[in-house]
Amino acid sequence: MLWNEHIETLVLKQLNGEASPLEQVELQQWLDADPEHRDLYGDCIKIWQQSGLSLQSLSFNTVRAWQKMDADLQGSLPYKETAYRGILRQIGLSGRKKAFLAAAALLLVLLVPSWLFYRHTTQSRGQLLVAEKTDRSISLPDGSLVYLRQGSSLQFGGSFGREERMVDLQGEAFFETAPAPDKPFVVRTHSALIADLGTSFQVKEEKDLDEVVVVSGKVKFTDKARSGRNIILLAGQKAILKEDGFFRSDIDDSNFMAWKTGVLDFKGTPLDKAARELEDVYKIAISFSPPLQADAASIRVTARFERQSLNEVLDEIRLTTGLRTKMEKDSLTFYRP
Amino acid sequence: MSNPGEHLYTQFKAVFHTYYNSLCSYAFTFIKNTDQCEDIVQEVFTRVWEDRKDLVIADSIRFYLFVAVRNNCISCLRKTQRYATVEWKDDDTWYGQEPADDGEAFSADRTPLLEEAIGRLPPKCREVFTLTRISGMSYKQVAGVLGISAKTVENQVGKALKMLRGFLKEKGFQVFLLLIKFISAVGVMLILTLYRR
Repeated sequence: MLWNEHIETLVLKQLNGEASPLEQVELQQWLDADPEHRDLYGDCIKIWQQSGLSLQSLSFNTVRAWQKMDADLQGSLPYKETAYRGILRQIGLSGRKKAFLAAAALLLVLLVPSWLFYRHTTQSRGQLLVAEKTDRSISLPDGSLVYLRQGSSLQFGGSFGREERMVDLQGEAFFETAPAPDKPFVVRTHSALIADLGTSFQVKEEKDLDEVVVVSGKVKFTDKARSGRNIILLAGQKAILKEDGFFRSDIDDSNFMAWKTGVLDFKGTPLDKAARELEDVYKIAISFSPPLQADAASIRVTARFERQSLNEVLDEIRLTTGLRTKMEKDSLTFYRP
Repeated sequence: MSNPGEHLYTQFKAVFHTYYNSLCSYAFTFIKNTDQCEDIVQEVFTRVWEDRKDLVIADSIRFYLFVAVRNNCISCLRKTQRYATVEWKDDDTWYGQEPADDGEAFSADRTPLLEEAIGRLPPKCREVFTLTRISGMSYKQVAGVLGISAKTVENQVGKALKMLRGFLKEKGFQVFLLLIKFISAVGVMLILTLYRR
């Protein structure tokens, strides 16, 4: 039997990013055992990816929806409450008695400046920064620099820099922190705390996975769920935190910051690995035609790209590997001519 | 000190931006009307803001949102279509509307064949598969939303994969057969014309 229940569980876990390293090894052994297994698995991956795209391709306008929602919420916002209620009251009762109108107007006159003053003082109270369309480079009040990747968001409170240095990250960002020994710089993600001990490092937060890569200095990486558990990472090391714990390794991939630097450097890199890096940088799905899947790891790519378009990159890879590509929607396939 | 109200607001905004599209897409698997889907999702968010602000900063917010959208979709369907109360145990139960035949609501970049294949999955299987793919939740979390066991979720997703693959293979084979038929027809005609000469 080609497909038993145990293998199915492994495949399903892998597809949903829930497989442990041990399970990944086991799955790999199964894949290596028979080309038919690889075909089967390749089909599953394709169906998995495309169904995800397909089911979510209806686009709802989040920005417009938020504006509508936001307008409904204004009234219940504690720090704008007084002023908005005042204005609303005036408009709502404008058809009534003149005396009331006058009182309301007076109230308004009194309230607006105090509101403006209040808003002015609250503005320094922390921020939500979102890199919506492009990557953003942000300089924080304490002098630290953050390169926030497109689609990510960073948030910090009003006491940032004065009492603490804590930021909340969703997505991926590179940090170059200003030294301040008495106030550790802490990045908080859904499941981890990353405390920097004077350094530059990158944090990538995905649905069930946090990855920290340290370029210089030292970082303390703490599991929020099991709060006692942490590891110290030194320059040149990276670690991944998943549900079942930490996995530490040396940086084997010089392109982990390619999204920030725009530089992709392949030196005899296996094509399947290069493809994953291209997927990450250019936000596309890359697959190999079934006859190519087995060989993708043995085809090597050597090339260096600096802020080049995907087409230029593909041209070069096609030229050096002799492969062809076809593009369908957001998905690219390598195949043999 | 940072204003807790403002912090909550920015957090709420981030949650809204993170899940709005996924939640609407999920609602769409029940209700084939994008406006209605958006209304349901917005209502869920409004209720979170008005009654359950504590959830905004909780880890379980995603879980709550998907459960709430699901429940509201089902009650919306019950209201409009007078659906009987049905429990999950019933294998053939599907609360949602069948996928629309007119392509109107669908955007152009959907994969029509896969779309069709997903539409043909048994209802329960389709819901489990769809929620898994849309929500980005673990099998355990999906199980929590649907009130079934994680094992059942895995079984249903596995079943869906197998059926989708079978369906796509079969379609591919049908195209292949058509091609063969066409080629042989052309061949026969060619031979006949040559023979007549």
